[in-house]
Amino acid sequence: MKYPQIKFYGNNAFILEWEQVISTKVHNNVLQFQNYLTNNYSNKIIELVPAYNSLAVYLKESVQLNKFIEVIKKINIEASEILKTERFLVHIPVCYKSKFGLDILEISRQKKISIPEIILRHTALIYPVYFIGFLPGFPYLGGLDELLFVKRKQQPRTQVLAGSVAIGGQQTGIYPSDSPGGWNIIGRTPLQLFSVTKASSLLKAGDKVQFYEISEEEFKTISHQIEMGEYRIRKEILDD
Amino acid sequence: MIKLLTSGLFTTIQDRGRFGYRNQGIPVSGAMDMASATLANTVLNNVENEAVMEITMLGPTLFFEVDTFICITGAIFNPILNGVEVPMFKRVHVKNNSTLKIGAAQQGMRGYIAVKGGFDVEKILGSYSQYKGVTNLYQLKKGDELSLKQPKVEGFQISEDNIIKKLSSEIYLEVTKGPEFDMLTTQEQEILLNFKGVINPQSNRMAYLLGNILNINPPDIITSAVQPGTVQVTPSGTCIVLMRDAQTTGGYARVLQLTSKAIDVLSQKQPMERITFLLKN
Repeated sequence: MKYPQIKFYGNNAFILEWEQVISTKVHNNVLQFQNYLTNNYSNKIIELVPAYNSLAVYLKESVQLNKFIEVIKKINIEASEILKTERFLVHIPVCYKSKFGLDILEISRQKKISIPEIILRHTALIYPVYFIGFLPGFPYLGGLDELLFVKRKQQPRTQVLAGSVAIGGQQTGIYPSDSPGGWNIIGRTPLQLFSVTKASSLLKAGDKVQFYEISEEEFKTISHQIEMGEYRIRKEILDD
Repeated sequence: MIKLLTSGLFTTIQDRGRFGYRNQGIPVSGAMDMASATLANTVLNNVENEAVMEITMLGPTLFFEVDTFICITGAIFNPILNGVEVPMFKRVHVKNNSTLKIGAAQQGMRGYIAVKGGFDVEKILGSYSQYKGVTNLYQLKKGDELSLKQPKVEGFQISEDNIIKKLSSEIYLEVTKGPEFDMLTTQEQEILLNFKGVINPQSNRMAYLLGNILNINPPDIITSAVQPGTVQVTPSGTCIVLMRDAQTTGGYARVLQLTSKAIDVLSQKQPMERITFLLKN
């Protein structure tokens, strides 16, 4: 793997940064380094925040930043054993009916693509999860079909409902909670992206996502199953 | 039990922050003026991470159905207990059936009220700090009732005579270079370090906006981690200082980083006050 550039970030943190490219190849370096640090230095680190091509390392107050960076510089990444964490392909059900997909008709008109084709293109690809940010549980997904690139709305909505699946510029994403938002909404998933009680996000950096279409009936059924605690998320282990 | 007879302008419960969940998009949060919040606990011989009440510009009026000790720190208020003025930065005995009126800040922006033992409020993901989307309650309202914990340590230790606390009138915010500082031209670095930022009234727990557009052309960056105290410059030259409720990632150039002490200082600045950055070597 490539060795990152190290940038100071205050008295207790630094950023590891790879080339300025959004790609899974670059991102794999981020994930590998994240694993390496987690496995070897968790006693010195409060937490790590991965992004597309960078990894923020927040150190415990007792750790001397300069000394720790010297240690990091000496890591022989090639020789170190990189332990892989479990990564998943998560299948996310989405109802694309205009009741949920408030902007799907407008996108269809604007891009001159039929609604079934929008759905087909949106569900055909597998999206890498680069990281979680912006809101608790909000996944930054890559790899949207170019034909589905749609500019953010001029006037953001004051309230976008949790589970809304949307397109903003060159990205697709899912709103984990009710919040203001300027992305174009094409559907909604009944799944919960973030649970405070379980302290966990449905997705994590390194996972992958594929959407599949469900009817309004199925949306109701899954919502009910989730409420009852009976729903099993469809996911499989990635072994790449 | 302590009841809010009025809520004040913006009142929340905070501690020293929520750590370990930033990779899930959860902000750190915590008291804006951390040193003042910690001091309030210290005076009462509480654990320093105990939950305190953070009040903003206009404080609440509280009714105590409990006999306890309190300490008020931070911005300068004229707290009145049952019609009698009580001191700040000292422990104050509050008897059952007392009314405490905090009133408006005379100087500074945020005050902290600690109670002996701490507030017994929901602890989510290891922290009492209230944040919308994480804690069920994210702002205290009129009529809310708060329980108190049984103190872990009885009595008091430190001598209050040693506490001389004046609110800092410092206009300099101590900073270190941010990850993108070296990507600015020498001239742009000078502009930034000579900047006199005017605090915009829209500033809040998430970010302070500083007025006067900077004539800086910041580098484009790919979205990456940000933290409380990060100074960002947008492509249009707006200067933003992220505060305790900052998002975990952001897409603007991170040109400077405030020290924790500087975050405390800034969080006590009122709208229209001016600040300037002071680069530490």
